[in-house]
Amino acid sequence: MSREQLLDLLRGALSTADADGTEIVAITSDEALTWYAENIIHQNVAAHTAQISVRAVVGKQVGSASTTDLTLEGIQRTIQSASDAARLMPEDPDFPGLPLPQTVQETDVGYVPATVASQPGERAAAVRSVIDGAEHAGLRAAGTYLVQSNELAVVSTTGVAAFHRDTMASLKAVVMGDDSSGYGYVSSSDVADIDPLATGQRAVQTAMETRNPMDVEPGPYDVVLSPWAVDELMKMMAFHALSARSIEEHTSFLDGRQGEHLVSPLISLYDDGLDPTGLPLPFDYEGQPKQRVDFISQGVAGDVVYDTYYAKKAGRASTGHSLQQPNDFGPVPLNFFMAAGESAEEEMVAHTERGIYVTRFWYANVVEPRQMTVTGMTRDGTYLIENGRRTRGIRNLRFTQSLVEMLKSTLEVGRDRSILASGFGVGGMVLPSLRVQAFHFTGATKKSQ
Amino acid sequence: MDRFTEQVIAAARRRGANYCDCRLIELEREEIAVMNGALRALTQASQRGFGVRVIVDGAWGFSSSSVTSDGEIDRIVDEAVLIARASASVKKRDVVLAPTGVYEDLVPHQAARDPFTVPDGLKVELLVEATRAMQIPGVVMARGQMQFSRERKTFASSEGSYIIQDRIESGAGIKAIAADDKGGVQVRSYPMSLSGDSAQAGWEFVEAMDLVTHAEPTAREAVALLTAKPCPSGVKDLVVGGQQMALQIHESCGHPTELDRVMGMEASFAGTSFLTTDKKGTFQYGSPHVNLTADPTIPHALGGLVYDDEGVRGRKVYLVQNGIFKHYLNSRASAPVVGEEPMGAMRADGFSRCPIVRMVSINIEPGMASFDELVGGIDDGILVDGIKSWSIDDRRLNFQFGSEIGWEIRGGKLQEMLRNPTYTGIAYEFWRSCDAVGDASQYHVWGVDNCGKGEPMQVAHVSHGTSPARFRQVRVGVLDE
Repeated sequence: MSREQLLDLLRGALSTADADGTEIVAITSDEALTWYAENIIHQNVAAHTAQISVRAVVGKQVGSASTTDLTLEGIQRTIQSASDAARLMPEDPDFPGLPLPQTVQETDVGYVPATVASQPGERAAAVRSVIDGAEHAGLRAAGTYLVQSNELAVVSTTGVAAFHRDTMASLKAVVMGDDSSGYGYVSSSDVADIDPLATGQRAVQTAMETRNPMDVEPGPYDVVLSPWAVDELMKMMAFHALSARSIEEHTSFLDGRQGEHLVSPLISLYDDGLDPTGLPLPFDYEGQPKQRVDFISQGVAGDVVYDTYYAKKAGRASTGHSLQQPNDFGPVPLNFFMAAGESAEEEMVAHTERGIYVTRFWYANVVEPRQMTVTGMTRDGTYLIENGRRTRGIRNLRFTQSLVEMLKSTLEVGRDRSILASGFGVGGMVLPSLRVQAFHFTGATKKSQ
Repeated sequence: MDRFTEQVIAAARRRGANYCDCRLIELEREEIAVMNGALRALTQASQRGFGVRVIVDGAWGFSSSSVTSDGEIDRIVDEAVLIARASASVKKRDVVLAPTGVYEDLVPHQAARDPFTVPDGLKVELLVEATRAMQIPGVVMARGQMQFSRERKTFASSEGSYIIQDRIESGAGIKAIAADDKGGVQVRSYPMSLSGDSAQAGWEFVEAMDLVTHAEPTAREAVALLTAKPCPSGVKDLVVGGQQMALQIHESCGHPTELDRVMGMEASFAGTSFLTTDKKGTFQYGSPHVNLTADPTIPHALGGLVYDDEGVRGRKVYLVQNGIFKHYLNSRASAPVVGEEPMGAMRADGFSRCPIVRMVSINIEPGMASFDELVGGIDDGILVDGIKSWSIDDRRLNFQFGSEIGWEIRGGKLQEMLRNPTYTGIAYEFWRSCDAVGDASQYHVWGVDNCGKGEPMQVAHVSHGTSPARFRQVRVGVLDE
């Protein structure tokens, strides 16, 4: 649908709303995914979905309902269900009221018609290219090629009317040998930016270079982390420590530390839904404009993200980071950035006398929240660095590391940043490589017997 | 067969599909969250849609839509066929499906009292009362939640199966977060962490949890953990509580026995498996005390099913028997590759996702040891329970898990409470060190509603029947090394 068609449909549906206030969030998604492994396509799927979520307010009573039926009648039935539900709800004394309309800078940056028009045959050809490269090297390729187009609209009886659409194409390649593997990933709103040859070659090269991995003893090592490795760690931080909810639960390392020099001055972390160098989303699921939020500025602790619920509790304004309401997740940073530094990744490797290069981390999870102590594994290309060179592959290691300590011990930040789409179908992270001193590896995997 | 699914199958046949199945799903969900005695969120969602899976030119295609009109049938079947033809362009061999029975069946739900007939006010009030009871000094946040779903799934295949399955799920849990002014934060949950316990059951399942009675003791444990001793570091004997055993089985047995993962199909996301096909029937996965089953027939189990999402009737198999690795979780396409018959483990997350191999109810069979005997057999060790943190490598070998609570064991007796207990190991070494499993009196089937797999991510509802078990010489206390 066009912007006007969708907004008109939703506003038309609102005309029958009988609650004191009503808000509709509409999400439509067309998604196609080619999933390959062992050098064949083993799943190739498409999904066309719509979700309409309605929040109805009667006094301080709030009801909600949602449906996948995008017809006018279906939406109006859902509005009525939400209204009926509200009248049965206990009052919510903390309910801040439906937000008022704010100026939103709508943008079509991130929407590329060619991505919408791409076909299954084009995805199959791209995958064929990755597979051919792997087969030529005697390796096995696995991965996905995902193409999405999404629409988000928010309207309410307070006058909120916001619309955004975006596209996303992402190609992932994991190439495996008998005892090694490599990784390549590229994502962009423009399908033309997807380079299957380069993505596959990167994965092939890593898998070849890390064959016959040696065992190294766990312990503290200087590390160079690729942007993919940094992504796995920063996702933990963004989800668990950078929201008003984490402050309320005392689980954030920023709790009570605003203004303090917490980490290296090389580190700046922020969320910016308007930055066109990322994957922009100009407003949140309450239709409130995204504000830039600086979590850490040159090492100094800053703010966290808010939705209207937590904003009212704190006596301040929303920063525009709400998920669909009502929810119990709290606000979430969906457009996360780490500021670029000055080093090329290869310079970071050159500056490391003995250490480890990590292509990816895997299955990270928080062990202790206040210091953001996280455990996880390396995968798909872990190298020993000796005398400033990646010399050979090593068997995968487990780390247990405070991310606050890691950011304190950061020695260099990469000047090139990668755009890494989130797995949620919206937003993502823009991240550089890092060089870190004394990163804690606490275990190693084994050959299976 | 109903008119809609009949039209889908006919449309696929007309377009040259050798095989087609259609799932038409209607789903209602309700989720309630209460925080410190006040309602935080009550959401009700309904969805309806269909997914079509075809084999054309020897390759799979799948498409789906939330629009269930006649016109949409042609569009979605066209797309599924087009996708299958694109897949065929890089195929190495044709998809071959193992034979399965042709069924016509109507499967009822297992709820005694449909939770959607229970007034929301009653549900909210129960959580309000429970979370208020947890608001003791030291507790900074008391949370409670409930979740219910009611689904009707119609499966029809070009082979002639037509199966309607009704399913109701209910679940609930409460959680206390305690914090001090020294930066300490501790969590304790009841009856289980994450989203609590869930089952294929009705409101009676939630009532039986008796959340209000358990609220204050749960909160007291959270506060006590703030000043508890840290978990010691070292190699010690370990008793894993029943709830934590659910996680242990899930990560180190459930996932590595998924045959699609073993065959590399999950390699680009969650990885592969150490349980390669050459190990089937001979590999010493655990000690002789270890008997692990995949059993979708356990009544009320969240991972239970009568038919999976390719129409295979679910049946119990031993994944590990007397410590030996025996069987995989499989599908119609993968089972023949390793000489197995399909056992009913193909499941999809709603209409818009294509089925993949998933856990059903993965369980450890009870042993003979009482709880006192499990603990009594340890001179220097720890007991851990309450799932808090989990991580495992991409071959399901190296794991590290954290629990909400632990206790020291000395001289065969439980001693002081321990905070932040963690333990780590290599899957098969860990299971080989098991020298006792708790008896049937300690057995419980835990519902787990957050099992993630696949791309795009699919969330499955699975379950694990467990008793506590004892393991020798395990590395513990990783956090404080």
